Amino acid sequence: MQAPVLAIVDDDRDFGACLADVADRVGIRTRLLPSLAEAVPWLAGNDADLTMLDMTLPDGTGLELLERLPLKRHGQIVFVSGTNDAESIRRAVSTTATEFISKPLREDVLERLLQTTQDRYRQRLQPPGTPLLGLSPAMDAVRADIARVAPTGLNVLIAGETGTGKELVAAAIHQASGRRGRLVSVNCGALPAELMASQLFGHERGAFTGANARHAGFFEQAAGGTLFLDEIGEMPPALQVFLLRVLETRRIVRVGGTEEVPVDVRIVAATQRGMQTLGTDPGLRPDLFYRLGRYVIEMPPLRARGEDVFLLADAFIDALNREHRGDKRLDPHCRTGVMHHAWPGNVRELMAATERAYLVSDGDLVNVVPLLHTMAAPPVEDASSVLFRVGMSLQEIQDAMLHRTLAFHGGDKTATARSLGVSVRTIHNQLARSRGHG
Amino acid sequence: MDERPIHRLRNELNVISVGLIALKRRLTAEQAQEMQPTLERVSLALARCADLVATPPADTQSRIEQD
Repeated sequence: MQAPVLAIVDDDRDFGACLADVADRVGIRTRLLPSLAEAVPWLAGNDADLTMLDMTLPDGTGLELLERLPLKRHGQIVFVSGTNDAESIRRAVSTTATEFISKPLREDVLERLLQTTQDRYRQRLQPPGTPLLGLSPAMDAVRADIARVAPTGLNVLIAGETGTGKELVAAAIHQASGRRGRLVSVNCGALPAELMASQLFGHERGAFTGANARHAGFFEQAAGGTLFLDEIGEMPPALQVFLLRVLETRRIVRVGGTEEVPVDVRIVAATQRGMQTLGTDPGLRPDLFYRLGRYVIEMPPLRARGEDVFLLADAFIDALNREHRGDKRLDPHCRTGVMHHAWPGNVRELMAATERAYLVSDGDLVNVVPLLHTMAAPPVEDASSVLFRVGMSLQEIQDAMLHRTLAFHGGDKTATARSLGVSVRTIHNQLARSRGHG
Repeated sequence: MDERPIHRLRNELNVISVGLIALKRRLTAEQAQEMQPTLERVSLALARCADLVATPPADTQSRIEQD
């Protein structure tokens, strides 16, 4: 069976075994490579979607391994090391490795890495030029936005919840722009703050200890193309000032250098903030927001895309059928549950739920149900939930549920009615009654 | 100061951290709920240890002494 592959190059076998256990549970195959002698031939002959690499190995260093590998065929390479030596860290991030993570590995970091691995694997399976799926008016508007803005060269800000497909929009803008350079994608939340400047703008030889050669940053790598800056609000404020200056002057200065280098790069940035709160993102400087936000594309949450949810589930099942040479289809009995679920993780959550359902189904029908979280979190009220206390009247519960669901769907009474399983007329009547009580 | 003991400690904490993540994912929802206070306490202790060993050895020693 095909699956994303994680290569663990680390001589700590307990770490490797635990990590393999966690990865296996989310459908990622692992390969433990405890030494250079084992890692070099295996990685030279096999594709890995993610390689987690220790700096110190029994017969060499992770840096040596990188020098001996055909890096182009490998996905993400991440150093995970117990070293705190600044020079080693700088040397590590001067290579094609995308990230340096200090041990101990945190749960949220590991989850992000595994998620990225699955996303990259799915992107690898997807034929190039795959359109943004969806027949809803909200997705028509997104496609119209892309067609309108792509050829203009304007910088674009994409706003949308996690899992709505912001990177796909960035790729579609790049593809439709006619720009000949590459699309370079950077997650600002994943880069260590102290190394971000060097990664974005590059550095000159001798800029710091271990900088043995000039390094082209993401701006230069995306020359003539598009630079996608995901989670732009996570960029340190000081760097946002530099970014603003680059946007204004279209020139960069490499770290440790004085020469201004002209760059022709289109910026597409993304934030998880919704349209209503875009300008109030505390992580994003207002002047940078105004510079980037001249054209904003809003990615709709899956819950606001109506029957697109079935279209997407069908498309995922088709892709899985092709991959596994199967002939399965969505179980009609799960349609109500799929439609009524809020999908807080949006398309990514639907994709994961579909994939899981596909793999566990014995017959021809795929019964998609939302994934259950292993860890039951304590109940906390938020935008997608209502906490009821013993002692509340049924009327209070009904009103609270109605208003929270309405807010969740952005005031869309049709979506609210569908979600609550009642008619739109009932929603109007309930609201009128509620106002009467208030 | 010799960095190696702290380096080793980071590696040990790493096994505990990923082992804990693996353990949490093996628990059923019911078991997870039952063990939640303990798991939270262990996670907090681990985060605190990770924070301590994240700093250079000299600082770590003085911070441990202060605590």
